[in-house]
Amino acid sequence: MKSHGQILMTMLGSLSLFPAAAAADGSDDNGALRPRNTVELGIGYQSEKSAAFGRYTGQAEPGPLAVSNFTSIGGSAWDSGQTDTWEVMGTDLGSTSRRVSATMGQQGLWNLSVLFDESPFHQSDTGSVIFNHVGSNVLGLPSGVLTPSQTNAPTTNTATGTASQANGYTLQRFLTRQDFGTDRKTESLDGRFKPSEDWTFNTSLSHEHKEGLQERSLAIGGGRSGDSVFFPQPVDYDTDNFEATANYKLDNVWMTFGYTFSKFTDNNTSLLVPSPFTVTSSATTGAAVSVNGARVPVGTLNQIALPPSNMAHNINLGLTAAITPTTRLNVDFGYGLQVQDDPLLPYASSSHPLLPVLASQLAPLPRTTTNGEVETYHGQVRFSAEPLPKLDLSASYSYDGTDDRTPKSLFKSVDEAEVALWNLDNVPYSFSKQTAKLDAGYRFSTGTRLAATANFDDTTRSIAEVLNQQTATGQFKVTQTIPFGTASVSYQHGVRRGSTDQPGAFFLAMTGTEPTSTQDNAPSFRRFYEADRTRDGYKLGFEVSPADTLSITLAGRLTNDNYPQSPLGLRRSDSWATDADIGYSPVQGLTIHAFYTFEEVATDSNALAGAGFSPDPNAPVPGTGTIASVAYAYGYHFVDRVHTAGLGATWDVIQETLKIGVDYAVSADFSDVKSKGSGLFNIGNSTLTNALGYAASSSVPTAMTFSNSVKLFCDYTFLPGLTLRLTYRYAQQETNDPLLDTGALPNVSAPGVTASYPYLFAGETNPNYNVHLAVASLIYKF
Amino acid sequence: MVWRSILLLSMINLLLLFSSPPLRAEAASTSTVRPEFARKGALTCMKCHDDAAITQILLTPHAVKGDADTPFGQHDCESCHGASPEHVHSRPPEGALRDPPTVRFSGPHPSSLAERNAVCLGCHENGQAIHWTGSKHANNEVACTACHTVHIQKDPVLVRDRQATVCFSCHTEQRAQSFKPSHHPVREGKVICSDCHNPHGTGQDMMLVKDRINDTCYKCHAEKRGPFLFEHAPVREDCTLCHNPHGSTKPALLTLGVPWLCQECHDGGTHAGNPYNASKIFGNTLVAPAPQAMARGCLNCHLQIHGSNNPSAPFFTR
Repeated sequence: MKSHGQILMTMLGSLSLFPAAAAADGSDDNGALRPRNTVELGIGYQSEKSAAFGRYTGQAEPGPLAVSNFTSIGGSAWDSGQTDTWEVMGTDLGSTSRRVSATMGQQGLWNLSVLFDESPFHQSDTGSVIFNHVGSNVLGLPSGVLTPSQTNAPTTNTATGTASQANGYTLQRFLTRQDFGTDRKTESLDGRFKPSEDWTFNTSLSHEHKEGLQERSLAIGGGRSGDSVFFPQPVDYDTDNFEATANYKLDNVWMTFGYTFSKFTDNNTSLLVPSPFTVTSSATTGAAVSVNGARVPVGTLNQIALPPSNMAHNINLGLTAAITPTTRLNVDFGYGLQVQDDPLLPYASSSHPLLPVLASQLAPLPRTTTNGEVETYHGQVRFSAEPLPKLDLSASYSYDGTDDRTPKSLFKSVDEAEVALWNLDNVPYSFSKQTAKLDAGYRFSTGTRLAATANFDDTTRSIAEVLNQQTATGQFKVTQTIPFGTASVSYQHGVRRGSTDQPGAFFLAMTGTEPTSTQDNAPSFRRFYEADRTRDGYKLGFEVSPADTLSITLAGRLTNDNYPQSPLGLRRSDSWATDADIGYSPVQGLTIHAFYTFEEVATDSNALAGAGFSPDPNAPVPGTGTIASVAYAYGYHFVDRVHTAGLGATWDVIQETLKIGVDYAVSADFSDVKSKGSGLFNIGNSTLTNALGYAASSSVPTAMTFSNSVKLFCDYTFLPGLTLRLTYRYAQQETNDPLLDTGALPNVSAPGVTASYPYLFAGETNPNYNVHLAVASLIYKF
Repeated sequence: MVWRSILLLSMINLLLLFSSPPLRAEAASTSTVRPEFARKGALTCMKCHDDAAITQILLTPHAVKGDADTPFGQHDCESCHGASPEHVHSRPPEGALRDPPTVRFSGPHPSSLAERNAVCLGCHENGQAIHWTGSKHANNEVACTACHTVHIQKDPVLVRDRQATVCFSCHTEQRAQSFKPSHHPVREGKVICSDCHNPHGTGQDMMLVKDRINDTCYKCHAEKRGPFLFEHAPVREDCTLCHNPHGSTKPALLTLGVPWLCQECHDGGTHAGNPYNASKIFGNTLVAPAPQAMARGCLNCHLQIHGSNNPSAPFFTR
């Protein structure tokens, strides 16, 4: 039960955490029958460019900015007997996260609303690409890249003595700066009509256009060492949605009927990316036919299939019957159909130099369009009741199914990444899940509430290593009323078990042959979401409000996941979190809220590497045998630790005249990847024998992100209805993540080695910023 | 065996449901006294309750006399607070308190949770709230007024850039996750909790607005919907196998960094089984940095990891 303290906490919590929001209606909701129209206009200045700072707010560029918000709410007076109502609202009009909405209608009969919303996403502003014609669906290369010999000459790796296939370092000078990001614009029209007491109809029609550039990369030739090059993928999407709902009420029965239609259109079906490298294909194990040694020159177009246009229909029916005033029967049914029938691209772009070589081996496409079709089903029946005072019970059964009806065909495809021919089937994937659940809760007269939940689910997959999986979970929770509040403790235990693991099931479905030792997972490896698992969870919480002006909440959570049948793969995952919240209002007009949360997630994995295993990968069964060191055994230990804290305060220094406030938030996260190696791996006890231990030399340096933000604001009402708002915000982020800061080319420690690596990354740096933002605005209420 | 137990328990539960007398109905059926409402309705109440925090309800949709479905279209304040003649007519001695109104939503002696919620459900147990009874919030004894503030012109939980604050007052772990470097724009007000969750309950465990997790994600990420020619099974099954929608320290809301996330499913003789440790990121005099361990990791090559429609890309490389 929520205490008064928690309600206070909610109110106090609203003081902070939303530094970017500057809605015209502010945070002052007091004042009966006050003016209902508000306009805020102002200017501001931002000190620094940062995609990370303005990722979703649009405040990514330095310089002046405009503040523009307004609200106008009107309609019939409460006691006029009329029901007219209207509202117009605009927020953040001066930025690219603007939103304008208008609603009008007669309450209880109808209303109509229109909306325009713009949502930016600034992905990065420190990257570079080699390509021109950015934004089109055929990228180009700067003229200098295409040398007369049509090669960016392969050079010799001075460290390994092997021939490299490209030379990224000679291409660096062609890189040009490129920002990545997208912008969504949504327009919608919503309506509601209630022709009678029994029926209510709702409908919504929306159109969304999203455009911009996404940062992507691809491998060009060269087998598994791969020549990676980053490129800007054009985003030019349109999504149309239609939704209609009818609600019907008949005495003690409520029904809903819903239909949803969604149409996604990608205005680019494919993207052609020219290779900046000259590459030489290499052996590709598993390919039916390979074309080793063939040379693919600079400028060869690589064909990328962009997200295909698609459609989805969904029908939902819901019924709730009040069998008695405290007994409910819910029945839900849902059916969905997702279709995608884009034309299939040819196996390779027409410029592919190997096409003549491959032509005799390539079969025609088995069909010209995807003919993709997925059906989804959802059904649920639930009884809920209070058969005795203070006793509540519910029981439910649900079924969820996904049936992929896309035809299966054999494709003889050219994998341009590896310049090889593959004979592979596409594998439609279907699955279903049944869930039965029982809930019971009873509150004793002593103020103790005991709740118990039993949950059982059964998952069936059409093609997978684990075809059938059951999970049984039980949970108990005790809530006790204590002086000034409540305390609660809960425990959960869950067991997940699956059918016998079938290694290589997917590979077999694709190729028709059992995978070789180099093509599939190591023996006894289990995928984390298919593996048997035991879960224990504990929660503890206190909510106390010793006075109307003070509330304190303390909470803790611990979850242990064990994977007892996974000698290899994810072995264990432990996470815990703790939280403290304090809300305090020592005097009238002064409110303070502070919180701190710590979260840690630690996981352990074992793995084997190497070209082949001994004995046969499918031979050892879990719990037996030892795999010799022909395969390199190793382990990971991952730890994520996150600290988050915040402090917010507002003070009505002079009531109705002067209000000041501060919001401060700080977050620090640390991620460790520790690695250890071994000579032997013992399947029986899942240990790495002769383990080298977690060594600093092989462990990845701690990745860290530290961010803090402080916002100061002052509202001074110097004339009736006219308020000056001054806001200053400082935000800082420091990130040190080696994976995010690799530069355009790998940072190799040995001199000379750098001369021959065939990579052209975007060369981004960690998204650090130190941004000052000052805003002055006038708010007029009338 | 487990199934049998569950079925047995379900049957016992059903028997309990139908054999027990409904308490509220019984109480209602034995009540023959006609409620005595204040003759002047809200005007009577506002003689005393005239401060802004209370009278602001006159600006809300609840206070529209012309709409017979609203409280003010019926008995004004007493539609929710119950007919309270003792409260209205009592004349306590100086310094003493009046008898309280019949239904009290706050103060030192609030009415029981069931009484308070019954007031709201009397009108709102339809549409989006038809799953309330038996829902997670209902079972955890959450009062309607724990989230909704009806006397304010704009109920904060219905305002986009304030809703999350209401939810975060209980869901503190999600609040902390929203501060992680990779997060949905919830604090920025562009995505709100109710875009994905229906707090009044649905047929889903997580109170998702759609029947399945993936369908909820497709609302905004329709380009991931497919179906694709080449499907990536876990992607089709559940987006949250790889993504934490509430926030992550890793890019793109991933639960673990790439390549290590991929290695939770892919291991063995191919490059997927190689240990990607410090030497693979930074290289050394003999070992080249591995593309799988830098920049986008495995996604440097397997760029269409959500599924590919290219007949030449069974491994999501094109």
